Amino acid sequence: MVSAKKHVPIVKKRTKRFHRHQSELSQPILLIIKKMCLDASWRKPKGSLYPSLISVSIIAFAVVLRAKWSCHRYVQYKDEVGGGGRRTSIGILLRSLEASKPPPTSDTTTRTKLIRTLQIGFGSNKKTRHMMPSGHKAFLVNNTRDVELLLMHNKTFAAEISHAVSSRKRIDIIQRAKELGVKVTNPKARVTTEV
Amino acid sequence: MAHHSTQVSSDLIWEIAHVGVGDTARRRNYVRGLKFGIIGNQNSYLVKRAQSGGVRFSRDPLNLTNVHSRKNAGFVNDKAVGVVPAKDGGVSLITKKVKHPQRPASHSHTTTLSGKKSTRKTYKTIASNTAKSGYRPDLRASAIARASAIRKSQKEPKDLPESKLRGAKAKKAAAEKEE
Repeated sequence: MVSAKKHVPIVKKRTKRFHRHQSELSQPILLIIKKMCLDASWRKPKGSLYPSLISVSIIAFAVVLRAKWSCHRYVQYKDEVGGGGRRTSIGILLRSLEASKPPPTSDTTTRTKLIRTLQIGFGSNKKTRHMMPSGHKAFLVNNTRDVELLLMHNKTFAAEISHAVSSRKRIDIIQRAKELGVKVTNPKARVTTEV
Repeated sequence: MAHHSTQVSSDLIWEIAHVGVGDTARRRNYVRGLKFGIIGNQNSYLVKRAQSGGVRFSRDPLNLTNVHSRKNAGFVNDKAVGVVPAKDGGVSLITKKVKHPQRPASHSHTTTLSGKKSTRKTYKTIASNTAKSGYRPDLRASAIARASAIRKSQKEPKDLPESKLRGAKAKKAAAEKEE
């Protein structure tokens, strides 16, 4: 097993949990309809597919909520349209729609009111993002062929055996990883027997 | 082509169509770019993981670093180098023949470097075959690095050092057990 290559010290800027803003304010009527209650650890689903569709559905969701239960707080949820720079608030969007004004294009005025969408490695140095304390990054592995991909990367990546892999195949994977000098993050899972 | 793939930029297609017919080297380069544009995002060699911020590897035997990139993509480039493990602790050097890129069954040339050969000689051969001859000078370092990694992996792996005991209590317990 090769140790990771040299890197800047890993400093996690924030170790506390991120609490979903206003999740405790879920109204009793919303609790009946479970889908509309947000958990404290809820995050807005991310993805590049149909960002406009998602934003439209979120706006529709907010409009329905607002009309039916006048749930004013929900419309304050920030929506991310497209890239990192173009961020608007549904609340602001709605208010501007009501006043039949175009929504503000620049988010500089609204940013102070918004809470940023959180991403993995919040506040940490980009160089150490996704890094484990050992200095490796994890790479999910299902078989020995996958381990062989890490032949040239055993100083940056460590193999992580997928949860559904049987103990018999795990032994092969661990053996191959040892030959290639690849670190395995979960070498004891399913393989060790109780003494 | 343009109809089926939305990921290829229209600029690239325009350029392909307008490169001079006589300028074969330039044209070939564009074609390779187009090939990678079309099949680069979806092919049997590609391995994607969302973990660690999105990683892309390639299983291509003609890819020296296993990194999915235009430079390392052996299935796209007319000239490509591969280093794979051979029998008895040796390595095989694969190079692509430039003449017939459309004949995948016969377009590669394999040289096997025995495990009995010293590593230095192996690297020397690889360097002269890939870089010194002007075939793919940009792949010299990664070809040698891969050969070195393979040679190392063919040796008997060393056992891991025993993990040290942490804390006074654990040490004390171990000492008592010995007694």
